[in-house]
Amino acid sequence: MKAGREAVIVGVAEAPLAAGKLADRDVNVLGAQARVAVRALAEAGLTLADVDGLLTSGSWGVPGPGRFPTMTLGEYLGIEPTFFDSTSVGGASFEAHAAHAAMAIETGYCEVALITYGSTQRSDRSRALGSRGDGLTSQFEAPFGLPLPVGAYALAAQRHMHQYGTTSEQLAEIVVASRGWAALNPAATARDPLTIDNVLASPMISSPLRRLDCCLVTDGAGAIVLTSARRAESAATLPVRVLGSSEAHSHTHIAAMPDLTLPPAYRTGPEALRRSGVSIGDVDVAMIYDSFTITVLLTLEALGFCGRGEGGAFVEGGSIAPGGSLPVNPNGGGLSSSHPGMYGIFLLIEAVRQLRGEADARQVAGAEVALVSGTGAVLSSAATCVLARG
Amino acid sequence: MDAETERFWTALRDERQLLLRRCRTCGCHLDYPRVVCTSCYGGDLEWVRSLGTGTIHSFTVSHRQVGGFDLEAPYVVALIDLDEGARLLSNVVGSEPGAVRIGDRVALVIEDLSDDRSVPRFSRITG
Repeated sequence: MKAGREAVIVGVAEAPLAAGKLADRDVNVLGAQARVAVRALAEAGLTLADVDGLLTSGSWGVPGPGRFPTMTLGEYLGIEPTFFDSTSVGGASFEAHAAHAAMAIETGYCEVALITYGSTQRSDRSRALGSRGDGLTSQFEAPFGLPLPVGAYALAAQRHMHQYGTTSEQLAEIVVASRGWAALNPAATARDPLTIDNVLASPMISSPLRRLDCCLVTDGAGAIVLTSARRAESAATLPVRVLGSSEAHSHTHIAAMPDLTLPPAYRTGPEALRRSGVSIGDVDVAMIYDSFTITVLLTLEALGFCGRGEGGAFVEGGSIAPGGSLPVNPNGGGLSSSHPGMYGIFLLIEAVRQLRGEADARQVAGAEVALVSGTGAVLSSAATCVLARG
Repeated sequence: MDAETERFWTALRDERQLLLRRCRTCGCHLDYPRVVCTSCYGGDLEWVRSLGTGTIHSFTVSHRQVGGFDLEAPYVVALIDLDEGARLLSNVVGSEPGAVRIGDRVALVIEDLSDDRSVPRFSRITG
């Protein structure tokens, strides 16, 4: 790699929410992305005129112009990118976008990459991922009433409990921990204290997952700007390096998942760390996709923070809560901060804030290395990035 | 139903049989009909009749009523490992949801959703 071409994140921004909806009432999903894009660029001393790489994914505008996400967003913003990517693997898409943008910057294919995401699912009063329909390979899943995505995660949780004796109490520890972090984050949506008993008393949705095992349903919009280290010298923000990344996917439908207890993060975690030259013990902050409590537990095991089947014991006693041995999702995550349908960009944004030292009351002291691991669809995809301060 | 899968659905509806695609090269039974073997990537596949017996690999009791679905919540959605080795998503019917366990043996029950459409479901084999 040519000197000065390492990829760094120089700008991040997320849209403020009010009671889970976009605080800005005068925008649609494209306008929401436009506003965060402008802010993320501005904090790096850049404007839309500087952008030559555009990456986005979302569930908006389909059928319709959303069939061409980067073209439609580019048209709206008035930019004509010469590098673009709308990799669409669910919530992990944005970690994959960061990896692809980094590769493009490192090879000189792109100079300034803008990644955006937006969703107005809460304002639109729509839940879940929207109907998958029953076409093509969905025709073998659609007739059987599996509530999606929760039912697929429930199948994985049930199997993990059977194989390893994991309990509902252990899963509850995960959302209780996220509330503890959310109490330190004024931007989080759900900040009231939560106990394990509260979680176990919440209504069963799809056994063994209860309502409080599930992420929030909110609006959201976020943007990230990456550029080369040389170009980053003129940015006002403390640069965050993308040290290494990895991505993998194995299925769309839960019946095709090779092992319900082993999501693709088992490949991407070790590979991203290996490419970064970082060992798992060096990780100061873990940003782990938390669509459901079980998602966090399975991913902690898959990434190697603990052994297979040990996730339940690992999260007991507040180990991932404020003051615990491994800070996980110190913004409150999808379980307590926000979850607009695809959460991955917010994992990256919080990691950047932590590494810059901008996280106020929820700051993890001395955070220098963050591991960010997105999960998409139904434990279908994983993309992991290792970020470092400076 | 489409050109690749029509045989699967008409066999359920008209012949009361669950058909699987089997790879003639490696013997693997595919989870759903397709024209390439996911195990050896060969293209020489045949239709075979499943015995219709299997084991529950995992399940969930849905308390949410999915729109347009014919069974009333709470109902059981399960991953069934057929004895041939293919895995299907389906429903377990004919049992109290609370009685279902991973590892239970099940057998095929073909249910008619309409005059045109029949689906493979499973009931627990007790005793």
